[in-house]
Amino acid sequence: MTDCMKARANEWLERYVDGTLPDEEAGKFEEHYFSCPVCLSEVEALQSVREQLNRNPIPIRPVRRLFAWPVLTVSFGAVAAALVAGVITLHMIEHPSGPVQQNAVQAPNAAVKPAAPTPPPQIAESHVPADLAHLADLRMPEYHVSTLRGADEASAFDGAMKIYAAGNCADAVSQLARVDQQSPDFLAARFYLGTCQMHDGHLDAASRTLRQVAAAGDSPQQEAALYYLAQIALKQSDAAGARKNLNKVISLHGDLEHRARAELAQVPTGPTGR
Amino acid sequence: MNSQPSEQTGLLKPDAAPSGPSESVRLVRAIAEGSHDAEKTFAERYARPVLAMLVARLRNLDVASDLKQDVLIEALCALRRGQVKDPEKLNQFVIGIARNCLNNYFRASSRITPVELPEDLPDLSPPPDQRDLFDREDRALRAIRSLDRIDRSILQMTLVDGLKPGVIASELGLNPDVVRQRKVRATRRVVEFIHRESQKSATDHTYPGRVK
Repeated sequence: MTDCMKARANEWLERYVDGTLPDEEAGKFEEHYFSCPVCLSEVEALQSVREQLNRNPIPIRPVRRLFAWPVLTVSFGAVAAALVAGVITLHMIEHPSGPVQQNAVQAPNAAVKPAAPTPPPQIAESHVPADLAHLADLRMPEYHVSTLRGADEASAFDGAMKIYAAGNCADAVSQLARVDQQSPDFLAARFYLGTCQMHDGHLDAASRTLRQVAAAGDSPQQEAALYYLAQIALKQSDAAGARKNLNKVISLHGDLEHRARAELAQVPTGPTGR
Repeated sequence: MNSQPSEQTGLLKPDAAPSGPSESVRLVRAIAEGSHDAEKTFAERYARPVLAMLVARLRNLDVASDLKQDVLIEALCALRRGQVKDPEKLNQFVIGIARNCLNNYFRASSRITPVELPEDLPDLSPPPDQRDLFDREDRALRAIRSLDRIDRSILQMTLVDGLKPGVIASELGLNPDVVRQRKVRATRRVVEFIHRESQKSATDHTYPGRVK
């Protein structure tokens, strides 16, 4: 292979495998690698990578920057607030007056602590079932019809999701169930089927469906499936189940991590359950 | 590129191109004269590039594997009937047949109509080498794992979802130029990884046209 062709082949390789190389150039590249074992091996290598990525997709998450502006602002805000609170408190200790003096004497250590955020409502053991159910968020996740290239089942799925997006859960369930039956590996269909079942109040069926999505392993729907399993557990006043699934969501460090942490803080750790 | 026939086997050296003028002419003549060995050599030589071409066009390995058999059989039938006008352009001839089969497939939007098969065709489907298949999948998985999460996401969104760098950049919160650079780098890295790993076990593998 000439250096010239090698350079061009390198440029074409990836576009050829992802299907974006124009037909004329794709034809030239095919004629080339039919007589070039090196380029043929590279095409095969990238095709096998594509196949494996297709079979084992990872959830796509935005890159997290340590010093992204919202984090930075909040961090600086928290530090500044703590400093101001510390200075004021120190000033009050050194120059006591009125009721503050009494307070500082009675609890000096407590006074130097920064102001704690408003604690979550305490849940009494006797009221656990009702409170847990109140925490559950069974709203259907939003869906935006995608424009990605897809497999054959994509059109049936898109049709079902248009109905879903219109809020017609009953019709969406039947269509999504059909897609799920025809393509058991199509996890997106199964996931939205589960959320529809959940929204319609069929919690046991939804739980079964979402468990299958979560058990399928690393997928774009895994985190959300676990989150909704936790919501169903909350609705059913199953604190242990909710905790288990919220912990799994947290361990994935995805988009729902913070929400799961906040909810977990409100779920009692005692041996409550259904 | 010219191929270099081996002095001992009359076939190609492993580091040579799989098909050159003299080799092609010899193969075309031998098949026309009814040599079953030549037919097997033909099938071994073209199975891989034809499959790669079909996978690229169909993006479905199972359908491509089925269609590959049809392409090879149709090409062999034509070679037997002496329908190749220019034996030195055997590659283009096979590519042309593969394109016809693809067009038929897309037109019918299902399997193509099976060609009428002579009864004495050799078995063109070598027994599936499960170990080879496993090795290939394993190498691809390890190549993917050797990438960091961002590069892996970029490759997935490019190769599987067919997204452009601008879209990937907005999804991941990166600069589009960074995505382009990382995409090129990740592509080269996985290809080189697989190439390196394949060479480690090169003694177990054959090139198309190479005699075991």
